[in-house]
Amino acid sequence: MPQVNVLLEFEDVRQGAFGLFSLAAESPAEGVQAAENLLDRVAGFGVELEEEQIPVPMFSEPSAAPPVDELRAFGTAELSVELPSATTVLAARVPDESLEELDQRAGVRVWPNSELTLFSGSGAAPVDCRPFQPGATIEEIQQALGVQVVWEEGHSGEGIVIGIIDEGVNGDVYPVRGGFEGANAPAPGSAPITSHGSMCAADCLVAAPDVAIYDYPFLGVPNSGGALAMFQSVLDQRRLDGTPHLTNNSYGFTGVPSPDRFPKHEIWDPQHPLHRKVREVIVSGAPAFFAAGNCGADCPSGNCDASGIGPGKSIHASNSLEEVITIAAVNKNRTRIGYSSQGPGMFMAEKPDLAAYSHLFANFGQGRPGGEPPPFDNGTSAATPVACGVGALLLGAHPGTSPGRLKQALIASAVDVPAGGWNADIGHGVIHAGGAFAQLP
Amino acid sequence: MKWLLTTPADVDLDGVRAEVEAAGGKLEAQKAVPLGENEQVLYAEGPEDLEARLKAAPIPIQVSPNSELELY
Repeated sequence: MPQVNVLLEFEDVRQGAFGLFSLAAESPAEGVQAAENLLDRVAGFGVELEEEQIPVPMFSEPSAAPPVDELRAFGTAELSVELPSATTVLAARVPDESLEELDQRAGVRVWPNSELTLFSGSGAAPVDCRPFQPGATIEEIQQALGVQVVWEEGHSGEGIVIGIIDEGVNGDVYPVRGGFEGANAPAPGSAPITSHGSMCAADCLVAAPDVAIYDYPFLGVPNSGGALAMFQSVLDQRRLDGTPHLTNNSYGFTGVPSPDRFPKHEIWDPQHPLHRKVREVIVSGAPAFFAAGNCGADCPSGNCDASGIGPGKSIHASNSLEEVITIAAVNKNRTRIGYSSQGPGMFMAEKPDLAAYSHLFANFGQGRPGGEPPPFDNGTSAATPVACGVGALLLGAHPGTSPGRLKQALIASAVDVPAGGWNADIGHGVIHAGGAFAQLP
Repeated sequence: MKWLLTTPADVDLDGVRAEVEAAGGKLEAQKAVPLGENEQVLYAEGPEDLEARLKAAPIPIQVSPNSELELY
C-alpha cells in the first residue's frame, strides 16, 4: 500500500515545550515516547513515525498569529520566559488511502513533508549530481507516472512487445519471448541478470508490467553496424506478425569527431545507413525510444569525451533524429539528473523530446534481481525504457497509434513543462502516462 | 577500421569483393542488410582512407563508418 511522507500537527497545549524538545534531541527514546503519546490519538490509521525525528512544538495555531511580543523577547542575551506550545508536529508516514480521513480528524492537521533539493547556488535550475539523491522504488515511479488510471481501465501492456536493442536480456527473470536468432548469436534471453539489457527490461516493466520483450543483442562490440542488423531483424519480424510494437535504444556516442576528418560519421551524416534503417522501422509503425545520453555538462559520465559534453554536443546521431522519441533523465522529484545530455540535438535541434525517471530500484539495488552495484538502475539508459514502457502501455490501450501520434500525445500531456514549452534539459517536460492516456486516440 | 558499404541490391558481389580487396580491405561474412527499395549494406574492414580508395571503382559503393557505440 503506497505511503506518503507527512507532518502531523496535533493540538498540544503544554508547558515546558522547549525542555521537551531539548530532551528529545538528546535522547531519541524520550522523543519517541513523547511522539507515541500523541500517536495514540490517531490509532487505527496505520501511521508510522519517521525514524530519528524530534517532535517540534509550535507556538500558535495555524490560523493564529504567532506570539510576537514573547518571541521578540528572545532576541536578548538574557534567558527568556518559556512559552507554552499550542501544537506539536511529528514527521510520519501515512497510508495514502487514510490521508483524507485523517485530515478531517479533530485536533489533527496533515501537512506535506516534501524532499528538498540543495541548490547549486548559481541561480540555475536545481540539478541532481554526485552524490546523487536517494533512488526510488518502482511503486514511487509508477505513482509519479500516473499509470493507475490506465491500469484501472484494464490495460497493463498485455499483448504488446518491446524490442530491446542492447547487450542482451536475462530471460529467467524478464519475459523474453523472442528476438534475434542467428547461427553465431546467443539465444534470446541468455544474458546475465547484471546485463545492461536486463536493466532496460526491468525499467520497461515499470509502467507496463504485462508487456513482453524481444531480445536484440549487439553481437560483440556495440557498433552502428550491429544496431543496423538488429533494426533489420526488427523489420523482418514486423513483416511477419507486426511485432515488436516499439523499440528501446539506450546507447549512442560519447564524443564528437571532427567533421572535416570524418564527414560521414554517424554523428554528421543523417543519411548513414543506420539512420535510414531506423526511419524504415518507424515508418513501419514502431516508435523508437532513444536515450539522450549521459554527457550533460553538470556531471557527465566518466566515459564522455570533452568533444561531446554539454549543450549542443551531447545529443546526436540516431538519438537526435526527428522521428525518434529522445528521453532525458530526471529523478523521482523531477529534478534533472546532471549527467543527462543537453540539447539542442545535432540533427534535430529541439531535442530531447521529454524526460523520464531514472535512479530507481528495478533491476539493480538491494534485494533486486541484479543486486548491487550499481546502487540502482541509472543513466538515461534507465529513463528511456521507463518511457518506452509508458509507450507500450498506451499502445496496448490504443492499438495502431502511429509513432507520430504517440509522441504528440506524450508531449501534450507532459508535466513540469518548462517556460516556453521546451528547454534543452528536459525537452517538453516529464512524461506522464495518465495524461497521455487521456489525450488518445 | 570497420565500414558499412551501401551498394545496389543487385550488384555483382564478387566484383565488390575484388574492389574492396584491391583497396586494401575485405568484406566480412556478416549477412547484408537490405536498405530502401533497391540497396543493401555490406560489412567490411579496411584502411582509414577506404572511401577515397574506392572512389574510382566502377561499381557504385558508398562508404560509411561502422563506429563503436556506448551503452548509456
